[in-house]
Amino acid sequence: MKKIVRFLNDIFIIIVLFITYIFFIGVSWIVYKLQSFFSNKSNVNSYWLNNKEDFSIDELKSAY
Amino acid sequence: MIILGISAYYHDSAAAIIKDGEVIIAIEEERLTRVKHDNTFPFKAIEHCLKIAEINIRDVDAVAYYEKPLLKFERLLDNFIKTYPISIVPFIKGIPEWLGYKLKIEQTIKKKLNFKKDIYYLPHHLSHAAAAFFPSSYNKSAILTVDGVGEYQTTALWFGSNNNIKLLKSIDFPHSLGLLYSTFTAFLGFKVNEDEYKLMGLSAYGKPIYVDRIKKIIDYKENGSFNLNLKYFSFRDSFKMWSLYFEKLFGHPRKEKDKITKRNKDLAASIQKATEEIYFKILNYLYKLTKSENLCLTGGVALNSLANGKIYKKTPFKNVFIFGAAGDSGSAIGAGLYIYYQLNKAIDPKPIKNLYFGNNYSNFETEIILKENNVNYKKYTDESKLFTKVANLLKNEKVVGWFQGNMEFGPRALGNRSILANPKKRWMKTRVNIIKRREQFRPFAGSILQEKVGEYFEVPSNHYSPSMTFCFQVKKEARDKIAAIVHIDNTCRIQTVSKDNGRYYKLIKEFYRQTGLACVLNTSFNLKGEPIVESPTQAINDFFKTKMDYLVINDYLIKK
Repeated sequence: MKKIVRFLNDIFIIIVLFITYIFFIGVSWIVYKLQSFFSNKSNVNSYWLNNKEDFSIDELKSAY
Repeated sequence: MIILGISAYYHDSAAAIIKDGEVIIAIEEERLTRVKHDNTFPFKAIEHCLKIAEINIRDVDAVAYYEKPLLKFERLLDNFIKTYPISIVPFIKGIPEWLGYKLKIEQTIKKKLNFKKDIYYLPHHLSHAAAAFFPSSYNKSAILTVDGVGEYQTTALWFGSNNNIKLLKSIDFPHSLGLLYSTFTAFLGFKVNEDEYKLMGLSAYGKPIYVDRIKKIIDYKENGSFNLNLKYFSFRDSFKMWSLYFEKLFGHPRKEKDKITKRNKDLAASIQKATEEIYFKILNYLYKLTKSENLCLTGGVALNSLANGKIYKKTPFKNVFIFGAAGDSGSAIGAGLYIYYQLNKAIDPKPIKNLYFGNNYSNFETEIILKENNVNYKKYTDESKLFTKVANLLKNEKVVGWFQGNMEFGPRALGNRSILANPKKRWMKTRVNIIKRREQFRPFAGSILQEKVGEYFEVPSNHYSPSMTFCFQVKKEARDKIAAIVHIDNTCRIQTVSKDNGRYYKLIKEFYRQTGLACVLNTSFNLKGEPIVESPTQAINDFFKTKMDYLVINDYLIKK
């Protein structure tokens, strides 16, 4: 009996995690699609980005 | 100070040892594992570098890794969300390798290499920029890095000044000139990240009649910035480069074994022309931003030698330096040099004169290997007699494998691991293509004495191209003299050879004395699908597998 309960419990956790995952990805996707819909690139004069990156030696110790 | 530079996990993994600002040794992993474009962590290359440099990992002061793995992983997640749910299959397939080892660089370096000191992670395009700028002889220079993709950046404009490199502008993934070119490479039945140069060679046979259609898939501005129309591409969400819309626009894709049609050639010509158009717009904009007459170029797209040869005519730049190992392997050197010059700000960068960073086999080692392989040979103790003999063989239209000194770093054979031939007769191109088992449409490069380059090619005065990174028009009066290396569009990729090239210079000089030709046909010493040979044993194997006539390893001449 205990084994069955544990098994069902595991299944339940997996389902919850999966639903959370789908929800998270789904919401992100909807936000992205909405952003894309409202952004109009046809009037853009330049696609260059102005990055201000820090290449100091301490910053380069990070893998991110 | 000793720095170990590493590049890995994309293509062409490599390692380099930089000691007091000088590259002591550098080698691609593929040369040792014999897997072309090997992208695994370069354990063998690192071990080899430490051995040749006669140091231990404890002697290394810092490790410089050529990109930021976590940032790259973030791009992967970001892209997954943007392309969800279509991209779920490639995402799930890609995750194990990221979690398994790509994110564990620090662990790999610390535990498997037993390295205890500082590890630095440079942005991918900064590693490229450093590989282009520090080896050049310029104090100040505009820098363009352009490739498929790094972490996010695909194209970046920089300004280099002494020890500093400043980012000016960039374009991020998925908008990429490199990926656009690679999409056509795949569409025409060639391999991505490997066969782009075949597409470049093929472009000369076609007419650029599809440029207008290409403008539908990429929007580019007068300042060179561009934006891909993503509905034509699938590389973000699948293992395929193009979408069905792309096929509707350009027709059916070619398969690897299919015959090359006129449409294929025209498509190749069109993408080459469109790429050049954007490339020159970017460069003109870069000049406008920096006002520097010096230009350093790097990244995979900078290996487009056909476009590079037109830079002097199409842009205001007067001096152009292209690092010979412009792909990711060169970034191992770039990352190492950048860290060295940041930790030693008072030291001025030293130019790099050549790319002979690999291993060298002595005559003693060569003789042992020849004996082990039961190969008949003749030893020339007098160097000049060897050059006279080899030049005479070339004069008599023999094809010679030429293995000398330290191996080249980067994709080109520059006269130390080369196959050489007489460029005079057109049929020699067919013969060498058969020997190398290559497609017949592919052209060959020429190595020419530096002082004679202006007599054969339409080059700017004092042009210096030791790494074979430029194609130039062959002068009308020279076309019949070097017919085997004149491509169908009358261009040729050239390597200028000076006294810095040692024995190779002396050989060409002797060939010139005997024939009146200051140029030889030069192609890499490898067979189709294999990396360039590294050791005498590999050279001997390839020699006996093919119809090459002679092989020269150091002072030894071998005949079949």
